[in-house]
Amino acid sequence: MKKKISKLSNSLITKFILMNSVVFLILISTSFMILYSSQHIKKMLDKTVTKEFSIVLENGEMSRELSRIVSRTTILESTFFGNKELLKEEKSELIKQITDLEKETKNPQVKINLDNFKQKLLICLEQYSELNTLNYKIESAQSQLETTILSLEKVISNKTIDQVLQGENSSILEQLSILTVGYQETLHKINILYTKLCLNHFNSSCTDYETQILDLMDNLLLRIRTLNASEPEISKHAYLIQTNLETYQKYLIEFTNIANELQLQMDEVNLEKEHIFSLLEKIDSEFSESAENMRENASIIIGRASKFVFLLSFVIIVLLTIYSLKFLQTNFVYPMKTIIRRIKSIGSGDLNFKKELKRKDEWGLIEDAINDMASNRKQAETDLQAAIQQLQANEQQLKASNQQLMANEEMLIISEKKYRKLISTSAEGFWMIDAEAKTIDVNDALCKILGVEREEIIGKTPFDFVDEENSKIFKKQIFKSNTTEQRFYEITLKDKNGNSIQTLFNATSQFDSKGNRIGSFAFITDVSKLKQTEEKLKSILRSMDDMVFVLDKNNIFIDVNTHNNNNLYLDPDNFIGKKHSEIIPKHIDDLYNKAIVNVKKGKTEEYEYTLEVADEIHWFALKISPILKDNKFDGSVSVVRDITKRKQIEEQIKKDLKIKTALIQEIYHRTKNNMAVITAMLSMESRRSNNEFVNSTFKEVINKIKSMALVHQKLYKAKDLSNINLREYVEDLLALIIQSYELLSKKIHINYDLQDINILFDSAIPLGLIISELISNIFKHAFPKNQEGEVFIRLYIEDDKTINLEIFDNGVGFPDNFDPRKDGSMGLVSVFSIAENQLKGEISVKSENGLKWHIRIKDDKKKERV
Amino acid sequence: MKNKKNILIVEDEVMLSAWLKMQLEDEGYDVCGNFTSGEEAVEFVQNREPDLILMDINLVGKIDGIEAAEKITEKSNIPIIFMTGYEEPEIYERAQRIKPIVFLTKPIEIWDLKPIFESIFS
Repeated sequence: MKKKISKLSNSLITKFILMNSVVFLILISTSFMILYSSQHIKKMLDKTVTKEFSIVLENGEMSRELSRIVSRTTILESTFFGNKELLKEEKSELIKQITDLEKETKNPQVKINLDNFKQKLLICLEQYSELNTLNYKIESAQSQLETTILSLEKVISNKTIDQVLQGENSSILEQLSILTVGYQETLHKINILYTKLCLNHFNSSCTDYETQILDLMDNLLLRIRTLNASEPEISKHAYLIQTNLETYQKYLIEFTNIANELQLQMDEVNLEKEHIFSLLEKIDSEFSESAENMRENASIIIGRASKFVFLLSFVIIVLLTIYSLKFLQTNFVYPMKTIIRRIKSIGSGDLNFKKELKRKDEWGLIEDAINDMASNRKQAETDLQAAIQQLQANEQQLKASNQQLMANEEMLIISEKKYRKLISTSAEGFWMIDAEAKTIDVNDALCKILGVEREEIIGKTPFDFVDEENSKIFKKQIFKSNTTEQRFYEITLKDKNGNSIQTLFNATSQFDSKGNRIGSFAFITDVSKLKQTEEKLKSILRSMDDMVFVLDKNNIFIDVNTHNNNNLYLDPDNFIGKKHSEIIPKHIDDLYNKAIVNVKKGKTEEYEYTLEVADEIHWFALKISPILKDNKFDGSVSVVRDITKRKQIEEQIKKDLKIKTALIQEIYHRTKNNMAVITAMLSMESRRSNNEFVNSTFKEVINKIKSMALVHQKLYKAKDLSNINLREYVEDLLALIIQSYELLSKKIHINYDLQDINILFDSAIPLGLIISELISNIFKHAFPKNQEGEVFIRLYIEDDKTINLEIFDNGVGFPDNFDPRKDGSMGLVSVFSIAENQLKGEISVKSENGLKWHIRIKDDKKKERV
Repeated sequence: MKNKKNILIVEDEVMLSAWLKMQLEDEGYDVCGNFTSGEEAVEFVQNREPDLILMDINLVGKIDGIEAAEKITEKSNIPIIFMTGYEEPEIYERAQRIKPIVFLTKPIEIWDLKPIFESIFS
């Protein structure tokens, strides 16, 4: 299928169809592109014109709506005064209209201007509302004023009538009545001026009217104050009129202020209207210009697109023409010319292979056919020449083979001589037999082993030199072997005198080219001595309690020796041929793998392990050594010993030791306690005497017992039960003595320089007695009359293990001609005795600026206990 | 007149106990009891509360000093000073559970006790 497709793709017809398809596709693509361009231009123009028109329409609609709003605002300016309901309705309607217009418009600037207009209009409307409220209040004030003046007039009239009826003088009241009429007139004037102010407040400033009204009010107030001095009822009315007038005055001032502000605000509203209208006009003119620009741009784009389409079409046609010409030249003209030229050259005798076209289409097939034709003719000529040459070569080879055959015969004779010499001088026996097992050749070594002459063996079979059992082995080895491979087997031969000789045969069978046995030969080694040695070794191994395992270099068991199979984890036969990791438990195999790394380097390794054998846990010790062959690792020998009993004994010993250690510690502890009891008893006893000598003696004895008890205390804590740390002991002992001489010790300073030295308790106790005696003496005698003093104690060990103890003080020393060995107290004499006789050491003392004691002992008088 | 502090001594060695008593009395303390077993000490404390107890660990009787101290501290806050010649860590750990506590190793001298008493009674 693949081949078919390949052939089809290389065909000329396919190429032709392909070319036409390409041309057709290009033309279709060009037409589609032109169509697409015209559609795109059309869409672009439609979009632009529609957009322009919609903007113009929107502007027109907005202008009309805005005009309506402006007209409504203008009407409201004239009608709002005194008409609260109308103002409320118009206000909500106007604001709604402006808000709707804001939402509809898409121009952001218009939106901003409309919003400004709305805000300012809202302020105006608020001021309209405030003016209406103030007007209502002013009208109320007017009405109250009128009512009060009328009431005043009535009061004055009533009083005048009363005075006239009673015959009193009523002239003052009559004058007041005239004044009241004046008040009414002035009030009417004020009301008229206010009405005028209201009617004109949209057209001009209110200030003129306001000034006139306020002047009249001031005048009226001045006149009314004259009534304050009248009768109470009249002065009360006068006060009311004054109050009403002042309220009227306040409202009027507020009214005129708001009216003036309204004027200004209305100017701003009008200004905002103007801004909106001028903005709409500006937008209209900008859109007109934009539409013109769009028209021009569209015509430029259409022009360019037309030129591009024309140019593209031209380029495509030119390229198609070039491609067609090239196609014809490549696929028809050139191959045809080449084929004609090739046919002509073959005709003229040129039979060489020529592949000029290198094509896979029909032209390529024609060229291949022509070349095949030429090469077939050429091959036929070549074969003929080769056959002639082969014939000549065969003749020469025949001559050379003849010569080689002669040379081989000579080599064979030489080889036979060498073989004879080798066999005859070999230390091993040589035995050659034919197909019937008759001896055809032997060497001197074999004759010597058997103790016979060569002639006595030739013609005989090997079975003549063995007993029946070995004869069976021989027959099996000689007649049943079908290979030429070497075979090793042991045979016990019989010599001339009937003695057995143990031998090792290294035999090889011989066969002819058809596989028939033609005989065999063997090299024989006398292994009698070797066998004896092996037997000896085996008997040694059998006599050993230990088990011996032999493993090859691949960790496979090849031999097991044990006198008692009960100790074995498995039966001995189960070990042979198995890998160590296959049959030995993992925890032991891990130990083996760790050890074998060093064994391979030639070292001997040991390890111990536990193993359950016959339902009991056994301990084993294993020693593994390498087997070397040519100084290379070739396997290992493991000697395994059952050490279970030894382990059990060890455990028992450890247990016993622990118990004994505890017991010894208990003895030390009890000894120390007993000594503590003795010191307690002595201390209590000493208290019964007031004699200083007696008490001092008690104290010395107690200190000495304590020094001994301290050794037991140290031993109780000591790890090895026989040695104590001498430095710690001396420090604790001195602390104890110092405490017992509490008062004295405050003036005597003790300096220490002590090394860490371990000492047997046999030496520690006498040394403690010496220290106790010497330090007690220092406290008692060295510093009389409460003198201050220094004591130096130094403990060190020399290289030859000699322990040195030095005790110096800077006290008074011995008296002149004092010999401590003769003249000293019993305690002092005992110090020399202990140091020299018990500790076998040296002791010396110098009395120079105090006493200087130096004791040297060796801690080797007793053997260590543990 | 100095208010004497009452000390209870619980020690199986009678001589050591007597010697300790003598020395404490010399120092101005009053030894209110002197027992060799823990049971006796526990019973004594139920009737009379000393200011301080000096308690040996190894005692005559079925309970040792630590058990006796546990029983006493269940009902009172009397400070207890343990005295022992044994220095096994187990004993030390057991004794540490009882508070307040001071743990002294024998032999114990009066000069060992004096600063401790001063600290407790101050």
